[in-house]
Amino acid sequence: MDILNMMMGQGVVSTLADQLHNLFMLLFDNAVVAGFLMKCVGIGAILGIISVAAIVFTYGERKVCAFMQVRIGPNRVGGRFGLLQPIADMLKLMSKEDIIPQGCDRVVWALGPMLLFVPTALIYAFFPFDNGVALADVNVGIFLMLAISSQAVLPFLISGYASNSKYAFIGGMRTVAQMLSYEAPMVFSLLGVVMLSGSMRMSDIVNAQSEQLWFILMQPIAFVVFVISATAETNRVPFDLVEGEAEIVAGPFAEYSGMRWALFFLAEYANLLSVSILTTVFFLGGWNGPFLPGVVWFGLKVLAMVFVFMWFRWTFPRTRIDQMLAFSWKILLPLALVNVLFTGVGIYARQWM
Amino acid sequence: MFGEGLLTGMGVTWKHFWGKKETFCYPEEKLPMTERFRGGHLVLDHKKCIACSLCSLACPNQAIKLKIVPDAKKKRHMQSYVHLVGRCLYCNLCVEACNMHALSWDKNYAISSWHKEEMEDELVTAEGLAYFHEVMEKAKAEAEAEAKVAAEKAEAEKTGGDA
Amino acid sequence: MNEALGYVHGLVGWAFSLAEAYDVPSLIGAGVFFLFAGLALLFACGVVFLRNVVHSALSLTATFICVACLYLSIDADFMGAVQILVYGGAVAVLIVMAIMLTRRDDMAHSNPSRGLWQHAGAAVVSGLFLLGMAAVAVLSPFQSAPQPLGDAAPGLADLMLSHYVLPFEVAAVLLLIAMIGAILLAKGAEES
Repeated sequence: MDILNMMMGQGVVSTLADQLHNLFMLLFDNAVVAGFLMKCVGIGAILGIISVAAIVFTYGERKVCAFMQVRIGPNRVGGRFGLLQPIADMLKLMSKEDIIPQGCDRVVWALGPMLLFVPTALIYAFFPFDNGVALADVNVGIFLMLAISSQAVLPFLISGYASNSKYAFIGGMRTVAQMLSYEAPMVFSLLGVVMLSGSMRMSDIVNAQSEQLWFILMQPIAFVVFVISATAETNRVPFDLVEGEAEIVAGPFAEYSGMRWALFFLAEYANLLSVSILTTVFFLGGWNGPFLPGVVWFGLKVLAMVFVFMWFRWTFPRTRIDQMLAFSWKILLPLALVNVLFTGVGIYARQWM
Repeated sequence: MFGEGLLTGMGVTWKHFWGKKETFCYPEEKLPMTERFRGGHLVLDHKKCIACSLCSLACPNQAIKLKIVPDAKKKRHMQSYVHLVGRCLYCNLCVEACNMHALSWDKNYAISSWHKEEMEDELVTAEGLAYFHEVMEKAKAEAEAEAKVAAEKAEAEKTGGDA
Repeated sequence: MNEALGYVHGLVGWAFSLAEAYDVPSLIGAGVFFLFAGLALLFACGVVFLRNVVHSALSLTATFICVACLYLSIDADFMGAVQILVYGGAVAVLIVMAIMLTRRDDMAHSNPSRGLWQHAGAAVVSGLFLLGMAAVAVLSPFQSAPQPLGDAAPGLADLMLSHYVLPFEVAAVLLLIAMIGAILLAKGAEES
């Protein structure tokens, strides 16, 4: 955990990191200082990735949405294809008035969006972007990642509560119901992957997939369960009960405006990116792939997954809350458990053969 | 099969994603209007027009103000053709009345204006006006030449008669 | 350029030799530990003294997370993750939600008010408890692990499914019974 894992491996990013490290060594002639600076660079890179992703995904989402609805989407700001649209959106959000609702629980209300962003950004530390490129490749990676991402429930709940608005409160309650019930099938679907690779370290899982098949082929049920529950965890359509505009205005975000609302937005897109990365790491073989550098393969797979989630969003109608919870507990969870059982039997049978 | 409908739906959106879009960048691109669309401004083909003023007579609202000038050879030409857009009810009677098919609609429906004064549309363009003057000059020259010829002939006849 | 680099190298080297002399790395480690310990205590005080019961619950969550950070800072990754997942995730949400669902009126002064006698009683009881805990902590012969534990999960799994399989299963059955009981309670009386 102490040693910067970026320095190992031979990928493009690793080489770049090596050279940066050499530069720092030349400048300061001290391994500790250079290591510390490399960590800072890594953290900056991750925050950069999240911000860039949010910008690109807002544009992408609007375009994908428009194309699927047989429209052409943004086409005014920044040329024929509206490339500067996210910048315009951002400027609009930044210049908006910061409205504080009357009778809200001031401190908790202000803390909500900030606290939401913390676990969302924190789990990026565990993601292996390329061979040996991860900020903290810990041995209980998956488990710690799940634990930290489950912290995102409480900020939703407290911002819903602190807004002093019935819609926001209902939204907060829905968040808890939804995210807690979909956490269970998600964890159990990942259990099959962990059993096959025999490790909870993320880079080990990717390496296991380069030795065996990609886990989407070995664990198709787990893949489906994971993708469905990941959609629910990110609060996206068809499971966007949390914000369901037609029912409860915007759920927990209803009373936030301007940059506070933008933080929720940022967290949503960071979540979208992180579940796409997780799907890539666990089921699509991470950075493995022929010809191209690993990080390029990784990026392509992640973008494909992001597209799939957007595709879901603009295809399906919203579910009802009771149907959705029933689907989680009565279909997804048993499926995931059966998958774990079969995986165990399969591993056992292979040992005998 | 469970979930078949979901896959069908995703197929539909996939097709739409790559398919042709129904909308367009409006002010830059415009939807092509149909063959018989009536609207926008009138367009006069100044080469076909014979200044018969049938269009003006056909107009139920007197929305067409003509200024017709006969040339030296007594042929009529259109010097000015004002379409009073505010009065026009787009009945198409003027276009139908034209025997020479010189009138048509430009089909540009975005013709709103700030001022009432701007709602008078002059159909004879600069080019048309140049053509008008050219034709007038030509007719004048021809008429003069003819008159000269006629005069010479008459002179010749006169002298011939005398002789 | 080279001279400037030389100065920087000299400065960094001097700073590090100084740091080595005063054993700064272990100081930083201890500092992180005590920082989180202090934060945990602070938030724990918040649980007791905050007027709004929802704030108390949130403060309790912060305490849980600080304790998890303590585990992480002493290289007990698995324990830290479990602490975050179970206490920071599930238990905290449960408490907060239970409070929000059961109290309808204004939350501003919702922590139960206490009289002087109750204060005194609580102080005595918690003081005695603290003394007891301190005695246990001082008297029990703690052993430090011979080497860093490293990957703790496989070892824990082996222990749970071999030596401690009976308590493990009993706990599982107990949880199952509790869950069935909760469902029965939630469903209410017989509807037949």
